[in-house]
Amino acid sequence: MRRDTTVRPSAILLALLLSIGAAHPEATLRSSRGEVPAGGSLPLSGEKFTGGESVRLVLRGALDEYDLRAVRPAEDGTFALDVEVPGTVRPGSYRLVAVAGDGDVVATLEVSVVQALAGEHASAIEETVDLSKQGTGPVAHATAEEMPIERSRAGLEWGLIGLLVGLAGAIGLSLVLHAERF
Amino acid sequence: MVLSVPEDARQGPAEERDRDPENTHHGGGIGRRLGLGGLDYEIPREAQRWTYMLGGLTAFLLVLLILTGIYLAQFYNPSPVGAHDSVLYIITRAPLGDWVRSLHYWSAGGVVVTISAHIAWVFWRRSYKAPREVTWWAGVGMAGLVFLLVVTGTALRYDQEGFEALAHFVAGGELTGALGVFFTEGFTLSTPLLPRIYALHTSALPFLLLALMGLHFWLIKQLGIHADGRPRARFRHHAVRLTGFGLLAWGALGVLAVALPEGLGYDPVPGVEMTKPFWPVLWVYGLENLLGAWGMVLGPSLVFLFLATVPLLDRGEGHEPGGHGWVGWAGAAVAITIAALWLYGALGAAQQHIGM
Repeated sequence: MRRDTTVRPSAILLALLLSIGAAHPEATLRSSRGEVPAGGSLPLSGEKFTGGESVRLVLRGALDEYDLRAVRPAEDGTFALDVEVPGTVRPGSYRLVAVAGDGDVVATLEVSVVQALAGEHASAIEETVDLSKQGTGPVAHATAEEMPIERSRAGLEWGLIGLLVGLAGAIGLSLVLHAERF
Repeated sequence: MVLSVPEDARQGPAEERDRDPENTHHGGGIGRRLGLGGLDYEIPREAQRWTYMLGGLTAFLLVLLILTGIYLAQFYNPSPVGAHDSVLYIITRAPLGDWVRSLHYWSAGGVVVTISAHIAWVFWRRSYKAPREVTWWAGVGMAGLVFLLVVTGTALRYDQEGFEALAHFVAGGELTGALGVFFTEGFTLSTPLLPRIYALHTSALPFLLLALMGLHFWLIKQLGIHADGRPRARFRHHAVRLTGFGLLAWGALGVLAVALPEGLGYDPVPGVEMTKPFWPVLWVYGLENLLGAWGMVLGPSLVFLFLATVPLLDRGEGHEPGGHGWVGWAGAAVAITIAALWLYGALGAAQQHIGM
């Protein structure tokens, strides 16, 4: 009968969706500080995590990503600790994300990393920041020079550029030469 | 030849209107529904020349700037701690980011070229004379907004050059007291200057520019194109040819953006002034070399003040091109001075103008 054959699959689907939604309850990360110096520590607390299930804390920026540490929340889903930020982290705007074992990001926190304090983590200032994957090289002093940026384009990008430029040129030329036909 | 008036340019026929009273000639369906018949009016044949299309070409390049700017805004971070990295992200990781950013850069330079040529042509033609004074003033307003868009856009790079541009905003704000308080760091404690400059560049200035553009085009439609000759052409042909030139310009800028991509300086170091600005404002830089920080305030102010008062200063009879009298010589002097200052700014050594 139709009702029997539709109710069961729908119930299974609903249960599956609920189970997926329940797998990662809405967790939150908090800190008493919005910024941290490179090489410093950030007081961090979490709540509403899945109790007993380890998560990784990762610092994600526009260009770089730093794996900080793993943390196992208590049974009530909370934790509190100081997270060490490596001295090699470039100053900038980052997201501190908590990544569950299945790869899902379960919580995020906006963090600014500022220049390491002089004398406290002097090695972080003197150390050459590794930007080799961008080909940018170290920054030692003020300069008017441009960064040596390695550029590369995928074939699809070249195709799109060629298509757009070609269309603009072809249509443009046609309109200029045959304006009176319109 | 695409730059000459076509031999078969038709007269503006009253007979055509009689045959087609509802103006269904151009897309009886879509054309009528979009009111395109409003574009089918007569204009002087002279107006088909490319010199009468410089303003429209400027509008096309502004459209390209808006489109590329919207795309860049999806990836740009206007906070001081994230701005430089986000620009680097645009160049290296955002899809087509490098090309779109370079297209934005070259379009900005293109707008400066076309708007300068347009102002020079309109000034020569004395098209600011009655009844077109308000049209001229709207145009001068747009030129001023373009200038502000250029300098605010430079700051958003937030490399050494961008940071120095921001520092110039702060210095200019402090020099001008109450008039420039918006550009000082002390204006508000809730947000630094960079996000406010970003808000200006992406919302307030484009909004004002589009409003003035609307007024400018409306007045041109109502008052007619100031060109010689009897009405022997159709505006729709002018518009179509202008669209063609606009698309050709887009294509050329697209090629430039591939061949000469725009770069980026290193993270800024406060306290030093060692870069030169974007080329359209090198004349202001040259004036700063001579007068110090006041040069960046006085120079643009005096130039735009002169442009704004041209319709009031030129009391000569008639509309003959070149019949400006002393106003024409003053305009030539302004142009030559700007060119000389530009050369001085470009070729001279970088100098410190403000206390950073």
